[in-house]
Amino acid sequence: MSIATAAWLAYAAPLAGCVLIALLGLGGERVPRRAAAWIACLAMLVAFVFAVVVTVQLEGLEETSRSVRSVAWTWLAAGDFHVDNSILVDQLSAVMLLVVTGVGFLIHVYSVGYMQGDREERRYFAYLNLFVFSMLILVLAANFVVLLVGWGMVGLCSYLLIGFWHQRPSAVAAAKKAFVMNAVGDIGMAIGIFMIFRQLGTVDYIEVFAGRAELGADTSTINWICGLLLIGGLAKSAQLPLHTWLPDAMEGPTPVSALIHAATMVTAGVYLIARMNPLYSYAPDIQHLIVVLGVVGLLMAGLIALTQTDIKRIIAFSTMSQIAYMFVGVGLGAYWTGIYHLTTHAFFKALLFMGAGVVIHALADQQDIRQMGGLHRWLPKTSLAMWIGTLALAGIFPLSGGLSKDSILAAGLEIGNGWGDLAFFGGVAGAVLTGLYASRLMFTVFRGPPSDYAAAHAPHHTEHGEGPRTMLYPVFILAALAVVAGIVQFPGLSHVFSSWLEPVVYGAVPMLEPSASNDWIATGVATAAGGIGVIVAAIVWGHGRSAPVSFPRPLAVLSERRFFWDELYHYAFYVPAAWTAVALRRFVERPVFLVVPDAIGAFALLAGRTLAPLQTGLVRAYALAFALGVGGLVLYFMVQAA
Amino acid sequence: MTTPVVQWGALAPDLILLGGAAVLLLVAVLFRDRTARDIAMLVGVGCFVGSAVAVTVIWDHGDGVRAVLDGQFVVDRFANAVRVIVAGSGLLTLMGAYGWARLREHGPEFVAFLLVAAAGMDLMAASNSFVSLFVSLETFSIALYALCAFDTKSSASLESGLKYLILGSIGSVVLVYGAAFLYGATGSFRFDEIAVGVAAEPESLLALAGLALVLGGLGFKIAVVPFHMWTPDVYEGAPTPVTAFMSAATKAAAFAVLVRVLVTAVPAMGDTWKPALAVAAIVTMLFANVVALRQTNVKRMLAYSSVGHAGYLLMALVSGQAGAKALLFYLAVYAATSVGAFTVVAIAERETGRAATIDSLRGWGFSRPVLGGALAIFLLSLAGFPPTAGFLAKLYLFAAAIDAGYTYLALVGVAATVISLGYYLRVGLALYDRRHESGSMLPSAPGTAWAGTCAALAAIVVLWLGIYPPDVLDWAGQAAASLIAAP
Repeated sequence: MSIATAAWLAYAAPLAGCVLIALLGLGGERVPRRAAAWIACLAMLVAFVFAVVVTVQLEGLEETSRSVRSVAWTWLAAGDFHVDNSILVDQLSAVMLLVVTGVGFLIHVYSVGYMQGDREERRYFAYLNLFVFSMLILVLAANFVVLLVGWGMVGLCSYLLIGFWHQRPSAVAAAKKAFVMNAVGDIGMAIGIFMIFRQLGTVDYIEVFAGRAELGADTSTINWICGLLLIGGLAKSAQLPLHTWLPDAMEGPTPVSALIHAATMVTAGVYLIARMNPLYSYAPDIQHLIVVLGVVGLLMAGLIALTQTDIKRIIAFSTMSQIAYMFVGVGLGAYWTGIYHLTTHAFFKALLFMGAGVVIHALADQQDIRQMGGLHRWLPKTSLAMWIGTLALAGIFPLSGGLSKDSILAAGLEIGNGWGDLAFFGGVAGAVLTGLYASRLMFTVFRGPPSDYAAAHAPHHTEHGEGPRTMLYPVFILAALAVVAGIVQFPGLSHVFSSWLEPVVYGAVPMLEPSASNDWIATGVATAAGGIGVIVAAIVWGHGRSAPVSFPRPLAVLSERRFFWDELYHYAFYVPAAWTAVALRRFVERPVFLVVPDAIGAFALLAGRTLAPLQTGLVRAYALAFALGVGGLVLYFMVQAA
Repeated sequence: MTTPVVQWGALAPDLILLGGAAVLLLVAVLFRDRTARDIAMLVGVGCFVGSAVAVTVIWDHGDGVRAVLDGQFVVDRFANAVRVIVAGSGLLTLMGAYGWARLREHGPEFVAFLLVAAAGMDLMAASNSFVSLFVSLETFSIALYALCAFDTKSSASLESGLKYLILGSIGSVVLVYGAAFLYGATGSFRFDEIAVGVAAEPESLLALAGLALVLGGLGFKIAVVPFHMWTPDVYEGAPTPVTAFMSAATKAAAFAVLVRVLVTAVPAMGDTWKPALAVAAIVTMLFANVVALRQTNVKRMLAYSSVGHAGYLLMALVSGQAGAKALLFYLAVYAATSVGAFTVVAIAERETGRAATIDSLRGWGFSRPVLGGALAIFLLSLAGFPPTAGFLAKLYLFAAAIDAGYTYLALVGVAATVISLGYYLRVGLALYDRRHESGSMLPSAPGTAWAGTCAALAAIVVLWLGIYPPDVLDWAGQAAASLIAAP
């Protein structure tokens, strides 16, 4: 089987799953609801198997020829401009393909247990398959238009799944918020693509990358293009200043948070910058901007996570912070480090979310960590798995998350200039925060005496074990992956990951790969930083929910209110927009659009009445208008000739 | 004078339809009620499918262009493409109409009229002289007058038929008058011979007046402003399956013959008619879309929408070969969309027992997921949203206009499209109005299964052409090339 065929099949499998579930839905209750769940899982398994086939075959090719472009058909052609439905399979899309289908498969299996008994299970699984299909469009796209299609479709699926429980007003509001913020990003991205098209007359990746020098010749052009594409990336990846939708997105079912709002979709911005590295390498100003936004974002999100009380929101801010690390990596020009952290993050963050899902299940949908505590006695396996995830998140060597985060910091050291130092020290400070908030979550939830609520609910819900096997096994598999995945890139020993991705990074600048010594320094410092965070957290929260210390007041308010971004947006955008809408309705819509058509109608009616008071309505008036029209036409032709 | 040779093969797609109509008149006598209807449906479907299959057989005959009946008709790929569109519209219309109560009494007659109308449209699209044009135009018009008034128990239907008859006759008269003028100026009714005469004397007042009248007459059939006024009344009053067929097939045939007249008979007067059509396009696009904003009756709204689409399509007439290609693609897409939309509206009317308005459709999408979803797809396609075919159709149309130097027409088209969102989306929102989610559970009307299949099929076509257009585009390109040489 050729690489292209396997990739197309991987791409088609989730779509087929989605369509099949929708068609079975027509059968009503005659088809068991569980069928949808298993169809969705099967579709993902097929996709994953083909993803593996693609990767193995790609590995078998010469290093220089590991880029396969396949065109299915031309969707649109006007003059020289054409858009094909095409895919580009190379080292980068293979990694994304594996992550999306592999982690996606595990989360689908987990959902089987998690969504059992939900009235609208079928809709859920159809959406979930559709999401994976959209994500594959995004990562396999070979041109900007297909990329934008995937970009928009994942946004749509995210909207549908955040608002999945549409009876809850808060879920609907969160879905809308996510959609609007993502639309802002989509618009930025679309304008960026228009600019690329205007400059080069093509939207095909390979042709655009070949013309990168032409784009790069004018600093302001390339800065605009990269900046506009970045807006799309910031919105999708919930990075400053377009991040406010992500915590609200936790209104969706927990597996959705794990798949879309942790492992795959929100990392699309990182993928975008890595994919567009030929362009970004010509726009150092934008790269510096990415580093600054990343460092500020990772610190801010870490601070916010410290005071949140909703278990899923804490993990959501952690996601924002970790993606900020990835942005720092790609912003430094060390594109592979961003993708590396993206991959390991997909494992340990999906693990944390799914563990949190087990906790939430055991406590009858309770998400407030103040209502938890002491859960270790009822959920020992979950607790162990989540500790692995937490330590990986905190960047403890040699867990995967530690190695991948360290590669980013090491890249900062390797660069050696001010931007690199900013990345390094900001990242280390962030590691301390990560250790703190992640361990606070774990201690509060699992240690100490249980809260009354937990004592009342947990024993009852864990009578038959910690949860269904479909929920637990994916968690264990991800825990194992979170431990061992770092093996592919071990300081001084192996560099499988960076070598694999190196050819994708175009030759504008040599690929940044830190020396072994810098690698070890970064690893040591970051592990120490993360360890300090964990130890401090153990001292403060080690005895459970009742912490002996509290933050200084202004900082606590800032953190609890999430640095007032929502309020800022409310007054900066919502209020003026609402006023504009009211004014438009009052001064434009009512006097113009609601009156003009009526006036035309009234005129015809009047003309009809005056000219022909007849029971058949307006026939004479119509005939008269027709005659006038013909007369006018004849007159015009005569005048033309004369 | 010799007897002309009849090229039976080239006329087969039309003769199949006419033959089917003749058979059905016998069926009407021999069988009764539902049996008669079911036989009629089978025959009708068979004839439309047969007509389309016959087209594929003769597609390449004579390198795609054949003069037929002493040059009265030209059966080229362009005419054949229109035949396929007409047959497809007829097929969908039949499926959609199956459950209509009236057909239980008069099924064979309905199908026979439909087949005759389709044959007339096919022949008109292939007409190469004003004589054959007029005869075929009257053939389908008379069938349509009868179809509009087919629901003899409904005064709205009768009034619709009468209005269409009176105004249509005026249109025909104007057309014939214009043809007479052109004959006076050039000495022929045949397009190719008129072209020679016109080229020799492009400033001839007689010929110009004739062309103006012909444009007026055909403008009535394609329903462009200011010859559109009958459209909302007739579309609203006519039985909905008939409206569906009229909106799709009449438009295709009338635009096809208009293109043929313009490019084969009077290309020499292009400097005169092109600006006139450009103005008509602008006025039609803006006027129809603005007026449609205020319609609450969905059929009436779709009627104004249909006028608006005629405005977009006028752009194709001034845009050469690329325009003709875009025209055919657009007509094919519009046929599926329009028949589908009217079919869904017909079901909604049957279920609620009253005219479909924005209010009566509120929340209906929840209780009828397939029909509601299909209608939403049709509305998005009419509004030109990707990934529906309506997007690509508009895109090719606008691109052709820009390439032909009519950028301003494309800009007006975009503006009109934006205005049109105001009413298409309003219906879509009403369909999924949560406040009426539970209040709309009505039992489905009998015969809805076939209509639902029709709507689903049309929706699949609309999505399919929007996502995978290359085959149909290639087909439209071949058809356009058979009529208009590349510049």
